[in-house]
Amino acid sequence: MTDAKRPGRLSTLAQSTIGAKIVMAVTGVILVGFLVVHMLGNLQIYLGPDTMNHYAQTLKGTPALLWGVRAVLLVSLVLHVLAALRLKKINNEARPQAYAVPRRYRVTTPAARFMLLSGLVVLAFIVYHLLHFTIGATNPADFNLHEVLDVATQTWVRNDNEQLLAKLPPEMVRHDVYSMFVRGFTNPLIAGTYLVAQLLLAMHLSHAVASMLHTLGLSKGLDARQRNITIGRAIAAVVVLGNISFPIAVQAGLVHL
Amino acid sequence: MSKTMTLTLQIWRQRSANTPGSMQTYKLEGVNEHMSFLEMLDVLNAKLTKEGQDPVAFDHDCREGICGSCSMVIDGRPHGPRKGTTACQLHMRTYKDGDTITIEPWRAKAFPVIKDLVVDRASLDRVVAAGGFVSVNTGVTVDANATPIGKKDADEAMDYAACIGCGACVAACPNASAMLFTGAKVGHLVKLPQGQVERRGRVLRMVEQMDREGFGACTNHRECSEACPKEISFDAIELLNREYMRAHVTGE
Repeated sequence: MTDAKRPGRLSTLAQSTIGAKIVMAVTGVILVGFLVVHMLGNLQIYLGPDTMNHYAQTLKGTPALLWGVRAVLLVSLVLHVLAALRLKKINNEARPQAYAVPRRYRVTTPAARFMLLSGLVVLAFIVYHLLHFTIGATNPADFNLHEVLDVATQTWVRNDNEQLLAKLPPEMVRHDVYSMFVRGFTNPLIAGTYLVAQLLLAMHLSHAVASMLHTLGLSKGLDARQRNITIGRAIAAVVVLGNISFPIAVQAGLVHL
Repeated sequence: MSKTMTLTLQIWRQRSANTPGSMQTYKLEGVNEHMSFLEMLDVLNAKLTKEGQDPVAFDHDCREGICGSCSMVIDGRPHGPRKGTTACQLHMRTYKDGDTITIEPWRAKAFPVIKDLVVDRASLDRVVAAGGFVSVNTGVTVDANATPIGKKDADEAMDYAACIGCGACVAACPNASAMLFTGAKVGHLVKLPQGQVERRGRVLRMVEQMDREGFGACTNHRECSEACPKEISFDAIELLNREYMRAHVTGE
């Protein structure tokens, strides 16, 4: 083989199946990391409106960090989905004629076999979730809620008078995320949608985490592999139990206005 | 006294690569429990030949579990129900009188059917030819102990070298991926001093060839190592990923 045709450059990495798997794994680490932080941050809903709204205000008060993280997440998500679709196409084409008799699998799980399905449902959910709670397009009446700083008492008070909000300096107005959160989950249909999406996320993560650790070469040996499968399921359980506690807590009246 | 049984066999029959195939049903009486699975097929073929029918084509050679020729999916599992066992080492005592057994070929784009249960597995040979070797000048045989190799490395190399290239991993994989095979071939040489010189180019070229053959990609179902008659560890794929990344990072 001549040197000019020698593989090993970044372009061959990107084109190879293993390269696509590495893209899946690296973007997966970023996305799972975000999921953990996102869930932990939202746990502050249990500490009351002031803590939650202060948290939201802090995030929005550091736009460089906020948009930096959003950009990384968006790029990761796009690459993750594109690599998944590419791998799915390669894998479908690798067996043009199916087995006449259904195969009897020994160790694979439904989570592993339906990764694309659970992934696409979660993707659709992410779009809805952004429209719902980040952009406020689906339920604007529950989204456009604000608090105004009462200078005399130094406390934040709900006030949705748009003329007043427009006149006040930005540091005296903050988004009432707590009320948005509670009103958002009061609708049982929306709460139910979140629950279903989170169950599919749990399914996705239960295979995803062990899978990415393996792809990145961190599962040498049977013990390490078993440990990574357990770690993956634990992360899936913690993230999703935390997340589903929110609509359940609102529906049960534990978190209220 | 050995038992005999009557079986219903559903076998994939396909005249040639370009004609569509289908499952055909055969009734076979007097199957001895001590027969191997292939001997049972021999009995069926003798009967078909006597009746003037075309015998079932299937790959076989050593019939002692080391050549990797026999390749059939039995009741939805490559090489049949027993772990770590090739189809030729599967014995009819595994079955009981009245059983129905389905038999079909490996299914993968890279393994086109030649006839009935025989598939063309030259794609695996081409993956090995792309880099699964060490280049040495031939001459006088060196002393066996001239190159010391640690016990652990020697053991791991031997475990990977146990791959017989039968293709059961590809057949078992939901994605028809050959990464367990390729990983075993890369792994067995990377564990040995002789494999170091061509280490980087080997993994790059073998993966490139593997992709070119139209095998799928691993999504970590782990069905391959479960189906492997030589029980090659799933570590082979983890090793392949690591070697492939290392080859890209180290450069030349």
